[in-house]
Amino acid sequence: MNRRIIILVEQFLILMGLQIFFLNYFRSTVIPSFFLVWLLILAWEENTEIALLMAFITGMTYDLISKGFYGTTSIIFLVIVYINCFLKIKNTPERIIGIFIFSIVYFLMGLFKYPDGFLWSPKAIFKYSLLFALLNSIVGFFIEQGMKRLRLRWKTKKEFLSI
Amino acid sequence: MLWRFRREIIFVIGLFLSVMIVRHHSHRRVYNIENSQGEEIKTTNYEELIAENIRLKEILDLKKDVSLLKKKVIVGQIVSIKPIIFPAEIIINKGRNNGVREDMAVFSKEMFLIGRITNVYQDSAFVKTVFNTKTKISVIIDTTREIGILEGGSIPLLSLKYIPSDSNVKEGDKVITSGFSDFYPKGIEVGEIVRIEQNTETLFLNILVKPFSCISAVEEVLISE
Repeated sequence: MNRRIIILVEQFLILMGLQIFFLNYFRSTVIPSFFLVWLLILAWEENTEIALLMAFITGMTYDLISKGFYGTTSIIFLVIVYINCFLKIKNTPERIIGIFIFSIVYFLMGLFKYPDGFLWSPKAIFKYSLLFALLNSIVGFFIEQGMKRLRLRWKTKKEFLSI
Repeated sequence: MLWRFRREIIFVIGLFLSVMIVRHHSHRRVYNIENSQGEEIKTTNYEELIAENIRLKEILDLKKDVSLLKKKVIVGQIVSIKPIIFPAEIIINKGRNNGVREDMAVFSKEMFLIGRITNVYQDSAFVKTVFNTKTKISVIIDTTREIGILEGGSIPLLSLKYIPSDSNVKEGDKVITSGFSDFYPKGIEVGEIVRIEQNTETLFLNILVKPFSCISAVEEVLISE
């Protein structure tokens, strides 16, 4: 099987495990979205087609594990990833800022319902979106480091096997 | 030619599929299929089955002695919540076919208020919960018998409006439905007062209420008029 696909599946499974763990055992009012952060990094690394495909799959997975409205997270993920396909963010500090901004966008989109408007009051949205974006930024830093390590491990393995 | 627009094609197909899933999930008979499949899986999970039996038995016992509710009570299950914390909107697996109608009240099995039915489909219904910013409930403070309006949206607490500043209300006082609105029966417990602040700009107090029902943890709900 293609090495790239194996790495992608491996990353997806690790993040799904983390997401399920945090959804069930993380005693906090706000839970970070590992999938969102991962998709943003995928899109910035120019894996745009894969990122879009994974946006649909992870969106459905997220709704399934979080008891959400099926399909809504897929729509939000797809829109955010599509916008990010045109942004080429390379260095870590800029990526953290990007994750922060798009986490707020994700939070706002998740709380919007046509034609009623936002489901919470502006004050509550402001407070919790900032908290969510902050948590995602921290998660983003660790996911990027983890992705680098995974890639390095596969590179080392390949070099070792070629010897 | 098509290869040049592969990104846009994946995006449009993904979006189309997602929209179709949203529509299908909220409007159609998907729950019946889902539930019948779920039952088969659940039979192998005995602990879950026992816990569900206990919960349903509690509801059945409660239904025998629900003096607050004059008409029939429908038991439903929560299928989806939005957002996952302090849900402002939920979908239940009972709809028009089960006798659910718009504006019916929804309670937890402990008889705490959860919300009100807003949209009804064949086998499902949308519930606007107490956390929704559009929710406004006519309530009474059980100790002082003063009437106020409880508003959602100020997460994680609810805001109680129009209680006069000279009121004797205390923290810990219960808030119950007044029965003056067409949507909620009288005497249903909603929450307890956790914070009272004087407002110098108006003649009313700023009161925050903690709702009794933890909607994220609720699985079965009661629907009634």
